[in-house]
Amino acid sequence: MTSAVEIVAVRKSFGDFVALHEINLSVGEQEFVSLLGASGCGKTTLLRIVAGFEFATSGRVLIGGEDITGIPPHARPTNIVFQRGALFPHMTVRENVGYSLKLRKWPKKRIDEQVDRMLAMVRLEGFGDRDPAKLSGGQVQRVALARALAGEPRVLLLDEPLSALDLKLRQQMQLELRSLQKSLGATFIFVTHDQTEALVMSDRIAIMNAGRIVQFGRPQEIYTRPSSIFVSDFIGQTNLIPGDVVAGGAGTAFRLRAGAVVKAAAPAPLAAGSKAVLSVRPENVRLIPAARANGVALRGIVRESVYLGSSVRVAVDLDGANLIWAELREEEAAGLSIGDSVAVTWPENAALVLGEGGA
Amino acid sequence: MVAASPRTHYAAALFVVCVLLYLYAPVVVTVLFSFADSPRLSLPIQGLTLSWYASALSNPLIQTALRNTLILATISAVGGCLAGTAFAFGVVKLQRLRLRRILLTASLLPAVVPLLVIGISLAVFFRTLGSQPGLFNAAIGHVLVSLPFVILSLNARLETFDFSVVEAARDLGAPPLRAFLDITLPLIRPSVLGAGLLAAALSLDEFIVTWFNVGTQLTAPVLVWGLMRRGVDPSINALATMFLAVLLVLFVASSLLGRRRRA
Repeated sequence: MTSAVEIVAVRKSFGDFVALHEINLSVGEQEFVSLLGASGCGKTTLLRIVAGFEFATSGRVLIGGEDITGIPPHARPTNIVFQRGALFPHMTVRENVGYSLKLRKWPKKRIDEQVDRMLAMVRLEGFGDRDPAKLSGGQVQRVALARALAGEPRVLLLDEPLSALDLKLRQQMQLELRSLQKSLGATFIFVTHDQTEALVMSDRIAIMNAGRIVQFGRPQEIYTRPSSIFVSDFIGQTNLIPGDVVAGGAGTAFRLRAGAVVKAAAPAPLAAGSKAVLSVRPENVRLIPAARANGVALRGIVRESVYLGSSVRVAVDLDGANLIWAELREEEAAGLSIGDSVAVTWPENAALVLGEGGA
Repeated sequence: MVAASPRTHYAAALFVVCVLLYLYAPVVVTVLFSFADSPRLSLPIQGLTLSWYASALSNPLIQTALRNTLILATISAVGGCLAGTAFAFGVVKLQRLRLRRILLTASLLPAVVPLLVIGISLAVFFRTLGSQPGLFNAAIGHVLVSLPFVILSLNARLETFDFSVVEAARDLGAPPLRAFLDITLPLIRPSVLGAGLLAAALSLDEFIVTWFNVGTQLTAPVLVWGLMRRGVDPSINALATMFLAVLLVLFVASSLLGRRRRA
């Protein structure tokens, strides 16, 4: 696969503050990549460097193999959809969408046809003569999308375009965006702080923290095989139980503070004796009444039970040292009451041992 | 709470009337007498006439003075707008908030420096440079006087300006100048025009700074001041009334433009 966007050793500092440390990222043609991270992690700065609004302190940006590092935004083959649309308030919807084509001096008839096509694509036929101030939040973002795609950019950049919308609309727009991207066969780079959004839409997700990409991979990979404590905690919910490594290697043996030893996978090799954290997703944890559990090492006492509608969350105290949460179906949790003694187990490979060092 | 008796109501109303009279009586008297046909300023007014307006407008001294005043107002509006808008843009783009606040305060300070001080300082300054007093020096003084107000009103507009629309234009292929002409300028135009009208209004009746720097040239306020020393000619009332009308129009237009930008 050729890469649509190649970010090579990009560093960005503002005075003493380093916003980006040596970012390397390669986005394939027709790929939907999300930059996911908390606010201040550098994701927007990285996007703005690709768009040309910020210039990297060092490093290069290539689009379609061409170095565009020093090229100003108006001459780049990228277009951006801003967080709040940034529609031109003194122009109609039609003039907004056609602006980039007018700059390219397309004949008027051709502009009109393209604008109609774009408005149909975002399902806003008949809104051409509207004033942007008279659009709803979702419509504003659709127009912004149509405007950014009208000039058929090589790469579309999206800077949290859905974050100002309410949940229902956001979920609907996520699916729309994704199917639009697939049908156009376009390359999208999408910045978000919303992990669900990233999981739903992306082909690959780059998780950023403190100016670094800490993991880059397919959504499933990132969810099931986080490479660090940060990622496993950031994506979805997980139990993080501290302890130490008894034996490294393929089937790493991990000792909880409570004393029990369990086997778990380790994405990075860990030396015996080093401090580490065990990560298990609540939906993978199973609870068995103590009386029926033979050969299960881990035992505890039910401390709390929270009803969530579709499931029940149960907290189990592992010998007074750690709490572990299990997410159970309602009928699984029916026999459990607070104070019960249970054995705690999970499918093989559901648990990961992550070193405390590293990003 | 004690309910106000009707008597206190009347007292309060009377007080309000007195304050309003105090504020407006001189202006009202001037306007009234500009239409009175008696050359002596005395009540009651016998008959109405426009002859004072005719004599004011046909007086060659007044014509020169009006022309000079108009020139100064135009320079003040255009010069103040250009410099003030550029400055406000520079300030609002600064990343460092402290520096931004310091620069803004520094640029607004001349608005509270007494005009007398500005007038004398400028006169001394021009003398050191060897620049002869005249319209040119007065024009520089007028721009100086109006600049803080232009900066204040443009800064208020730019602080709420969404610069992402300008970035959007740049992103869609507009070089910097094109983005300014297509997007920024149309969006800030009402504020710039409003500030220009304000600058013109401030310049029209500026006397102190003008007087110290204009030398032997005449502007309308300087001429009226001279004429008044020889007694009040009713054509001065006519001139003052015309000024009042122009200033009212300028201020109303300026504030209407200011209001529309918030809508």
